[in-house]
Amino acid sequence: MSLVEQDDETVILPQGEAPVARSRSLPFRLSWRQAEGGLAWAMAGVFISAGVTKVLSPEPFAAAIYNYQILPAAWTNAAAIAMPGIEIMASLFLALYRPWRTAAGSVLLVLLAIFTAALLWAIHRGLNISCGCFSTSADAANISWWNIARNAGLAALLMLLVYLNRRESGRCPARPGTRAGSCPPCSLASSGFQERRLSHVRH
Amino acid sequence: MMGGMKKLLGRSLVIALAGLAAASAVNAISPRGIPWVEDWDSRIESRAAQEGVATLSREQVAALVKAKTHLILDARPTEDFEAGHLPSAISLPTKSLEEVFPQVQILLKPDTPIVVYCSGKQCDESLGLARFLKGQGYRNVSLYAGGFADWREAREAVEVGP
Repeated sequence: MSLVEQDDETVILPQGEAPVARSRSLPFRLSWRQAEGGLAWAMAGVFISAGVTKVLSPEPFAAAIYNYQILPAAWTNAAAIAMPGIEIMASLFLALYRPWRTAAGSVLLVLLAIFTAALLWAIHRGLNISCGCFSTSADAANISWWNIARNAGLAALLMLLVYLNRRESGRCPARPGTRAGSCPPCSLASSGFQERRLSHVRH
Repeated sequence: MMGGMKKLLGRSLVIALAGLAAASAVNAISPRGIPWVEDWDSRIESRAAQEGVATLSREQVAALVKAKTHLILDARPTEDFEAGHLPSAISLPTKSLEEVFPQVQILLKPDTPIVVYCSGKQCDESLGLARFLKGQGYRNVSLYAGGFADWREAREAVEVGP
């Protein structure tokens, strides 16, 4: 039996068996888990920057929401206060707490779907208004199909992140005779904790 | 499967509620905080009433434009003014008030009847301009809260250019 370091995990192989192909690795020795982490931080950065702008200027953001003419006028401020808070909180969970990353990504996807539906509605009605997405300035550019394309791109990246998170969360380090990733329900005893302690051992 | 979905929904709800709580706290302590409930349809009128600025309806403004009894001041940026404005209106963008006001000031007397407007009900440049004019000693300042959006929606006459 030999211990072989593969990606960020130690894989235990039966005696004489060659290490399995690097199916879980990306070029430049970047593991899928690292890629997921990087993407999570990048996405969180994008949404936090958008949320902070709105939190710092709630009144211009409320004006932007009012201009969409979707919500009842009296609900405008409540939406302007609540949405950036949820956006920032979900982004923090996305970046900092991996076990809840799928839930945080789902919350951001729902918000993105609401924003995109509002944009489509405004474009359909020919409203000449600014997006209020990343800038609450009255001088910001008016809405266009570019905003829809950008949101679609962000949604695709979020879905990729949710997929990676679910895929990687479903994996566990290998037991003797199995490959990392082919994961029957794993117990604490066979989790990565013990194996990482032994990861310096080589044969 | 159902259990997983339940867990996902539960976590999403916790994240949303935590965000809501944080947003409430920040809004409560921020100097830029806004009230949770405010009717944006009558927001500018309410503020104008609090500051003692009279407000005019579109019909009233249309009659005044026709009678040419009032000086109409447009508080929007110059580009917006040039794209379209109320007939005989004069541009006085609040963003460049200090530069432009001396040119407009020569047309004004303390009792000149003035109407100010901006892009619509969501903008407050017109209220800011009314406040400024009252501070300068002009007593007869009224506000057209519906602004240019309301004017255009009613298909009233519009002038284009400087």
